[in-house]
Amino acid sequence: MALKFLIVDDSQTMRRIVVNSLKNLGYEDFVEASDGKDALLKLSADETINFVITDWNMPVLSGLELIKAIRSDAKMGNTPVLMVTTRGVKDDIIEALKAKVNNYVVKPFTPAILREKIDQILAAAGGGN
Amino acid sequence: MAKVNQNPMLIDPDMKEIVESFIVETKEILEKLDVDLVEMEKRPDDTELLNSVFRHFHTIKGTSSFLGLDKLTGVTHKGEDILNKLRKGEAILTSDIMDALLKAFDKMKSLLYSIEEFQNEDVEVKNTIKELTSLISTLENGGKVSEAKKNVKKSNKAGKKSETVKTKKSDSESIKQVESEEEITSLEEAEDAEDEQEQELVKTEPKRSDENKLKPEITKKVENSIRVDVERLDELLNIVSELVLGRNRLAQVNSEFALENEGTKFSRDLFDATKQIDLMTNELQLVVMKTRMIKIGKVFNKFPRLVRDLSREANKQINIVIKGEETELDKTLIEEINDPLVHLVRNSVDHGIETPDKRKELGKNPTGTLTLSAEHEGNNIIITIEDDGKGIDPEVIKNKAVSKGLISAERARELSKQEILNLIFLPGFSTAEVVTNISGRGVGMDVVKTNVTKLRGIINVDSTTGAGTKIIVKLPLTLAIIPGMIVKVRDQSIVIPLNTVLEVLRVHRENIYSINQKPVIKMRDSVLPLVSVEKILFGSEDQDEDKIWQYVVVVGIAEKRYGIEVDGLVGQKEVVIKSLGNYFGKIQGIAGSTIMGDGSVVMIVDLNELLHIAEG
Repeated sequence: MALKFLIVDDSQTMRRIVVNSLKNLGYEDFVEASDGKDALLKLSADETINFVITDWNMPVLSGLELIKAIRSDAKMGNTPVLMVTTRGVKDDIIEALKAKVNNYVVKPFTPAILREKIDQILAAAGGGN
Repeated sequence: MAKVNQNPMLIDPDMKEIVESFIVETKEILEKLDVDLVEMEKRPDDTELLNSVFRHFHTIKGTSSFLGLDKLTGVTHKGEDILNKLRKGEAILTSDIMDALLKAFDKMKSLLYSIEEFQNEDVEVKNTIKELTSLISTLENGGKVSEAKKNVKKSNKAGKKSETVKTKKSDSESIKQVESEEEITSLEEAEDAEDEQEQELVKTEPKRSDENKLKPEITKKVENSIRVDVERLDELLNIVSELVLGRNRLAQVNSEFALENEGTKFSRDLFDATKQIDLMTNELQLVVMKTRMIKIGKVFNKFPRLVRDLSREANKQINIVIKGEETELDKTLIEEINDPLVHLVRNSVDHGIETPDKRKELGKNPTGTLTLSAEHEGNNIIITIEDDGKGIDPEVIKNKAVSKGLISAERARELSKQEILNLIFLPGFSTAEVVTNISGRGVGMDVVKTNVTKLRGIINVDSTTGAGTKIIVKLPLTLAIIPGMIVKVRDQSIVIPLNTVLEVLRVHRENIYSINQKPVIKMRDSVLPLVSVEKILFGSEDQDEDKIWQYVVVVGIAEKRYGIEVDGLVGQKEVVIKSLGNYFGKIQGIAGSTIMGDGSVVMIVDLNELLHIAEG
């Protein structure tokens, strides 16, 4: 199944870095959002989005709240979510895992690490079905 | 790093787009920080502001780490650590902490500059990092009480952690593979500081949502913009200027043709085509002008920091208020106006606003207010710098000017208050009794005036002794194309910039009087000195005894009014300013030239210089 990514980050540069990494991995379908609220709007407007990569620390609606909102939604509740975080914020990771994020990746990451994370999430999802 | 001149990541063609985006974004963030940091010092209890500042540091740290910008990441990280302590309540924002944050900020700025200009990080950061690190450890050691609290928290958290890790493990296998456990343990001691704050931030964030509704919009706007080389914009403006000249020529040909061939189909067609070209050219000109417009906030935003530093140096308390930062003007003007404004602001801080003690004594608020504002007025932008300081005493100015021999004592007695105040713009005038660190560096108001005048602007001062000073700078929105009034002098056409023209009179010869051998006319209830452009530009004046009527163009420079004697009025036109070229260089009284519709070259007068010559 072709993946369509939603990349959520308040930094445009960060979004570009993620998109670039994903392009290097051969993916080509991306939607971007600048904060959690924007992400929810994009998600509800486009049902073909099937993978979310989100930053944690954002204005308006944080990554955690975004994950919670996605999980509590009947339609998109199972959308895989990968969280991008910085070193040394283990409580975030714990919080995110509680909120049922699928995996996390620490900045700065390489495309190879990103691929690994995505594959892990997909494998877990595939195994579940 | 010392041997390698360019960071390979920064010149990697694959990274070009990201690097550019990084530079634009980081610049924007630094601009915001410039304002926010100073604001933060004033409102240390504003957690939202603190969080926002923290997030800015956080974003730069994150993105710079991807580009392998170790120094920038390092400095930003230290700044972030300090901000973390503030957010946790482990430290209270003192001036020393603020100085450290500003130091980090300055380094970040120079690093970004080096990254943009030289594609490297050749900036010395060791000392800054050392200072920041020692500050952080001082904060840690000084806060013994909070340390103890932290330990309690830590143990609580440890319990929580092991619990969660367990659930996590059973929840998802993938986590085990990424060795989160090891990562978390290793982070425990070193980076404990960051934990609680992240949570705290999450808690405070929902509150922000209302105020920040506009934020996504702004981010989107940024996405829709592209970076264009300024040279290309200049080129575009140049081409449009030429097009305006061509359009003028076409209009001329059209009207000449219409005269001879009125009513023919060909002349009607030519008329229609000319009309269309005319309209489109106007629109194109407008759009190109708009493309070059930049918000004056770009300049204004630097001032809170400047005022903060200056007032600390001078032991004054000053609150800066900025209004109309959305007002736009041409990029060239933005660059040129910065230095004069800095000088004016320095002056206000140094000579205008009194020390807190002095202010209290006078029954004023110990904190002075400095207001910077900008607004549009027709084709001009008005920038005002206003303070509520001690104002300028006309008597002091007058005596100073006389004692320095700038004006005679008799002349001084005749001057109005306005005229006296404007004496501060005379070369060689400086009222500072003590030369301080801040202003009085030998660059006086005359340089400010010269710079403003170079931009075809006007500067004016208004002051009430004891209550404050207001400096008003009026600038044209653009430099290249201006509306001009075309007049005849002898048999030549010349252009007077329309923004200086107040009105046009036709005066009977008998109504021209002479005061001190200088011609004047009475205009309503004031006396208007007449200036002969002919005499200044051509060296002599043709005395036509038969002439009964004299045309006079009344112009205003600052608060002064003059009547320019001209022989005829031709009309009003958008003119494109062309320099006279290197061969002629600078000619006194001439701002440049323009090409008219019929192909002839016409001089544009520089009124300010012209009047200067006239006054001798």
